Amino acid sequence: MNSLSIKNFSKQYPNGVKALSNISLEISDGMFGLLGPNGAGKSTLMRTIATLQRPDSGSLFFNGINIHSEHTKLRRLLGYLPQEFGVYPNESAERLLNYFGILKGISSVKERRSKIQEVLELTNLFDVRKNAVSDYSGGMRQRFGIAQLLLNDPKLIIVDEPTAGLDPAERRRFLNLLREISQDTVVIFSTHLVEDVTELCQNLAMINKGMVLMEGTPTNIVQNIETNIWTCDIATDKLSEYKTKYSVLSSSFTPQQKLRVRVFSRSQPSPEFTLSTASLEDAYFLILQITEAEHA
Amino acid sequence: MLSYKIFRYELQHWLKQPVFSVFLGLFFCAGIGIMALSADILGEQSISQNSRPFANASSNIFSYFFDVQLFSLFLVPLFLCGTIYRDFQTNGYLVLYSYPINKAQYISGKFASGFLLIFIIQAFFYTGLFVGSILPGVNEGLIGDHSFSIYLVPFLSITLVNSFWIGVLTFSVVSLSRNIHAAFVTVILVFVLRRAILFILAGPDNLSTLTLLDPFGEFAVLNATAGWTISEVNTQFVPLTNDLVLNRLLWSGISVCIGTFAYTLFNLTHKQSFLSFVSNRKSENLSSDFQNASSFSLSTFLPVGIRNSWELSSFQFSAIIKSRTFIVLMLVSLLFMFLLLGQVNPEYTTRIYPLTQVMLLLPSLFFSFIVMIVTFLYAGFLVNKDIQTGMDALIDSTQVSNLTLLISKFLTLLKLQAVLLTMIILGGVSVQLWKGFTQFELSLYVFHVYGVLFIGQAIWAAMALFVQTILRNQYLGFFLLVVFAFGLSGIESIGIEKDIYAFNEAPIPQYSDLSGYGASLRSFFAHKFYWAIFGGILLIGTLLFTRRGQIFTLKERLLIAKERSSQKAVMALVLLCILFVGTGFSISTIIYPHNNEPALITEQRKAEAEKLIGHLKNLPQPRLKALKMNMNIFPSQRSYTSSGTLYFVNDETVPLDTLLFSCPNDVSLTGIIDQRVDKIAVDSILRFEVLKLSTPLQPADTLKVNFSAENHPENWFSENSKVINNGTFFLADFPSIGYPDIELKNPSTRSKYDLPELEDGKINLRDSAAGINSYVGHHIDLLDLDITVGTSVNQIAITPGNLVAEWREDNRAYFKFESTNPIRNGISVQSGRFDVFEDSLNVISLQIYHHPTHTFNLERMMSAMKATLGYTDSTFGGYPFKELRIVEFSKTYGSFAQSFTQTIPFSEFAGFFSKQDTSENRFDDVFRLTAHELSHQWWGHQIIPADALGSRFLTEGFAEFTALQILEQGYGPEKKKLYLDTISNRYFNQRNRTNEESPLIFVTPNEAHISYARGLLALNSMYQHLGSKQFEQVLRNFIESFASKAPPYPTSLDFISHLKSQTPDSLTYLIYDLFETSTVYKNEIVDYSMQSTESSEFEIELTVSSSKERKESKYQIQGFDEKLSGASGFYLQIGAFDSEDKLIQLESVYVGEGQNSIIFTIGEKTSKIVLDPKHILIEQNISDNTLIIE
Repeated sequence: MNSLSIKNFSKQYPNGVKALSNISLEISDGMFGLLGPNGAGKSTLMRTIATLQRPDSGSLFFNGINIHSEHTKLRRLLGYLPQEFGVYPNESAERLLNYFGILKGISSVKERRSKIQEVLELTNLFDVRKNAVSDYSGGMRQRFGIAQLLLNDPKLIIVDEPTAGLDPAERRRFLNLLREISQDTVVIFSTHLVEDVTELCQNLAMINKGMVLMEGTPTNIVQNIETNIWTCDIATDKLSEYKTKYSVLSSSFTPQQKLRVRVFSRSQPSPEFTLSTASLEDAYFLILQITEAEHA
Repeated sequence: MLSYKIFRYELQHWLKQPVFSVFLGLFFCAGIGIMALSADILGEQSISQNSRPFANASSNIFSYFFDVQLFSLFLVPLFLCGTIYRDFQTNGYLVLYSYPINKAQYISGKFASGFLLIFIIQAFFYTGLFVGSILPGVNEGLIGDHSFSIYLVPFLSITLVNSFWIGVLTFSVVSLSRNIHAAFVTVILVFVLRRAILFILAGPDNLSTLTLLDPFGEFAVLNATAGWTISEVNTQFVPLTNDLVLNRLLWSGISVCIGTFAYTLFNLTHKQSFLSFVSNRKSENLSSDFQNASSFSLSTFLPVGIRNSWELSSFQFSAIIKSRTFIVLMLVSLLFMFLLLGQVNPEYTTRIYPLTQVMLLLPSLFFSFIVMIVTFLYAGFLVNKDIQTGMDALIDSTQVSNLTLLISKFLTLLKLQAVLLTMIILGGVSVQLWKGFTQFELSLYVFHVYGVLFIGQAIWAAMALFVQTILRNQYLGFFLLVVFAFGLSGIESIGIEKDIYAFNEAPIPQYSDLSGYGASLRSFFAHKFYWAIFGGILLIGTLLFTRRGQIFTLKERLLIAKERSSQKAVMALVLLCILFVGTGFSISTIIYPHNNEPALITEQRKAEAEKLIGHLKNLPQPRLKALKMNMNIFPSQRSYTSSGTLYFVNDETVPLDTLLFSCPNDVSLTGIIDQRVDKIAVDSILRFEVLKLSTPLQPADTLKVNFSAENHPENWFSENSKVINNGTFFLADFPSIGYPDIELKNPSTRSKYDLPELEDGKINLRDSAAGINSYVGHHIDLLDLDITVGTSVNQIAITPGNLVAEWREDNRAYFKFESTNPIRNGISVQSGRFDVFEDSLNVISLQIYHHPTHTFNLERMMSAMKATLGYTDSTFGGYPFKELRIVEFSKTYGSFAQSFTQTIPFSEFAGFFSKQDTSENRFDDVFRLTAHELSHQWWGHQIIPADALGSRFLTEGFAEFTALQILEQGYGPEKKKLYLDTISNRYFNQRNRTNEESPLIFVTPNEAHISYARGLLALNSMYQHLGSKQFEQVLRNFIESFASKAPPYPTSLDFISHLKSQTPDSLTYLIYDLFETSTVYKNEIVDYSMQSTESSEFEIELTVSSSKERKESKYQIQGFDEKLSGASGFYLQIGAFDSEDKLIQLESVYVGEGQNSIIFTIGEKTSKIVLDPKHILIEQNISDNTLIIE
């Protein structure tokens, strides 16, 4: 059982932006989702866990390894896929993976070769292994990212918004791949899409403005608001009125050109509302709303 | 309008970049610095304003810019190409290209903004120059009138045009390759190209082509200002000559053509580049060389960390080496090497056989510099590649250690360097093959390239990685590295002479076919070891400051460096520092041991010694008349010992009892035979002793003095011994008698120690005392020699004298030389493994001792020996010795030749490889040099000048003149004229740089252009005016009166009096002009008219402007009345030529100062009139001496 333990971790950038304040998380094997809007501090958190950035304060430990001071030890167990990455131009997947294999310390040529074949097959890139990665499509490129990440059999995998920009089919393939590799491994996975997390993660944390707002399993989180989500269809020009009257979480168009609003309330807000099944998305919007209100 | 928007947007972006301000500052400061130093702001030299031109003279502004040309051109890829490259780099072009802009708007906007940026930076350089000229503290005597146009003209004609055409070229490359490194490589290639052009077109005959083709226009400027005197430099503007304009148009035109072509290829679409910095094989071709690469056999033997570094570097290396940019770079290097070596054209007068040592000598400097620049560029590329491609986060989060990554980058650079350096071998060998030269010395190639040149490059690689790691902007890093490397070459000028203070400097090892690298290699390796340690320190520094992950502030960087300073790292650093300082200390004490005593202490010591024995300065001393010596040379141990006896005779009329001896280093006085002596004074540091004889030496009595000499012990680093393993050449040392050389010369130093003022003993040539001592030593006359030299059994030893015996004993070879009649002082000792080439002329046996493979020019040298002896025999009388030989010596001692009696040491580089080339503009320099050195057997050995001013005229001027006569006999009047013209150019080049010039008869030893060049021109002029018969009579008489007699020794005045006795009154002005003053002539045909007379003759009336010009000198001839001697005018020859350029009439007319009207009657139709057609006057500009008649 692997475990990642983050305690009182804060980070402020030289331009004064406070990226993270006083974060504490305990994460063990399985998929862990980091859900938050753009700029919430997800990438900062992940880069720090991936040893690429220094924390200002707090401690980060993985299986007893101090992430801040024992870089090499941690990197042996680490697989990291940043939000954006490039590759050397005009190099084939095979050559690049060989390069990463050396970087990751697989010094036996034979071992490296078999490992490369394994990850190429796993990521379904074997047929295009001789093509230049710089010419790959977005989905193939993300899968290549996973392929390089897997070379050293990581115990801690960090993937930062990997599904951004992928078409639905690619996204599905990619998430399945992640699920496959998350056995006996800590996988931290950040996204701003709730559905990604819903489908995949055993545990998740919602963060915004550099703070962890809620943590738990998707079921637990939804249970908290199970009887508090109400919905009704309204005319489009009524939305602002409803927004002032109720705590509107989201709105979407119905086929009848009406707006279906979802509202959080302990009791039925008014007769036109009917109780709806709570979703993780509702919880997410609720939390965002609360933090926005607090900061306003 | 869109174009303007792009322009404005781009400009705003760059003006905000700190790197722009940095470059602005750098160029501004460079301008200030160059001008202020030229205007002597440090006040170091006490220059009168006459001896140096104004610092802000027009031609100087040009040359300052040419000094920074290299740096200025690297601005072009950085800023001009930076504008368009930015779009490719950020992928911003994908967005931009979707806007409704067309190609023309896009390109023009980008180019114009980039051009303006470099315009501004370079304008700041010129502004800096101006500011430097008005700084307080500059020597105002060195600043001329301020004028805007002084700066404007070079800025427009050179700076902007060069920026423009190279800008268009590189901009084209970047827009097509979408890669800015290709632009940097292009600029490097432009430099290589220029060097190749310079090399191919060296020599005066190609000057006009070179002027046109020089990519930077420098030669057009040099041409326009060639021969300017200081006052012309100060007052005249560099003219915009047709040549310059044409040159500028040519290169702009070429670049516009290239630009237009590139423009048509360029597309505003998302397209793969077709020029690339890294490998860009088509996707389908990316087949697995991965299999091969990773199973490279060498790597399996290495420890894991190193093996990983090696494999990573192989990956990076193969990407670079397969890129088109690098392939082009390699091909151009090879081509350049081939051109450079194939031409083998070090000086336009001679061509050299393609010996391997010659092949290695030529490319070393320039090509090494190119490899360095490429290293700087690729170091930046490697350090920043991960970040630029966006792969940094992937790589930084792997477990690979920083050390492994660093070593992999270092190895990649080394591999690149090795590949480029291999071009030297490929170029050299292919040139040798091409020339049909089969003496390959592959091991020498390999050793020199990988064992010698490579080390320095590797140390630069460490420096480049360090600088590129510390700085975030790789182009700034590149630029600073180039400035640094260039600055090092000028470091001696700011007073840092020791190589231990100048990064990566070391004494360059000299290879000789005779002696190999010798001790120079040890010293070289010692220095390189020392700098390699420094390189190690740099690499550790690089390791500590390597960027990994995201670092935001300098403070954070320092913090990380501190964290990385593990105990191991600190230990290594401390160890290396200790080793570095220790090595530096041992090098400076062992290799430079002579600098131990500070100059001040030596000065004090000398002052005290002079006070002690100064009163003995003019004490009569006996004179050396004979020398007997046994010398033993041990080539393999590199040492020698000698012992011998000196025979001094009292030539005075009184008994002598007080003697002063001085001993050179390594020599000691071991005893005085049959005498008891008291030591009155001994100074073991200044190495003199004053002795008093118990029995005074009676007149005509002989004093025998024993001495011994022993090699200074050899140490591992330095070359103390004069002996080398093969091809040794040195002068035998022995004690000398007379007042020692302890006098301080500087008047202010003398007054500091209360020493009396020195009188300049050499000025008064008329003093009878002037002839007492010869220029080769005081208290020494002609010597009887008896010398035995022993050497190793496979070598031959040679000294002056006749070889009277040779034998072997105890596995050593001995050679005994004796003089048949007394000979001049100067005992050369040579030893080597020689073959002997022999011949004879009459009864004189002639020999050339040479290295077995150096057989190319033996016949020519021998024919020159015979020609010289033939000429001198008929002109001066027979050669007084029976043996005469040329003996080769190692290049270690230099590349010169020197004449000793009967023996002429010749460096292997002085003629042994020169190729005979009889093409129109070349003459046989081996023949000429041999004739010159042999002529010294008379001028220097028969005529032994007194130790007085003008002595070099009697040796070098006369040897040059004699060699000229022999050259004419051997090769005809055309080659003679060619040589005279060459020498005339050399003379005027030097003359124009000074405001003072000694007349020939007073020439000082360091004015070579006067003693050699003017000496030749003046003697030739006199010869032509007097006629050969009369002039040779003068020489014969002069030799007869002084040959082999001494003392008194002849001075230049003795020659003048011989000359005067044979010169008609009408020509005495010539003696004054040529020898007693520094006169040169100026003639010009101003106008003419022609009439045909009745008797089918033509009458031509010429208006000729004539004048003489003289320079001042502190040595003046006294008591000569110019007017009485008619010295204001002179005889001028006027020649008429027919349409086939044949001389049909030659007349001599006397012309006066100013305009002369000359009527010239001629029988045939003439098409050309030439003043002084035979060049018998000393005149600089002869282009206005010719009149073409249609």
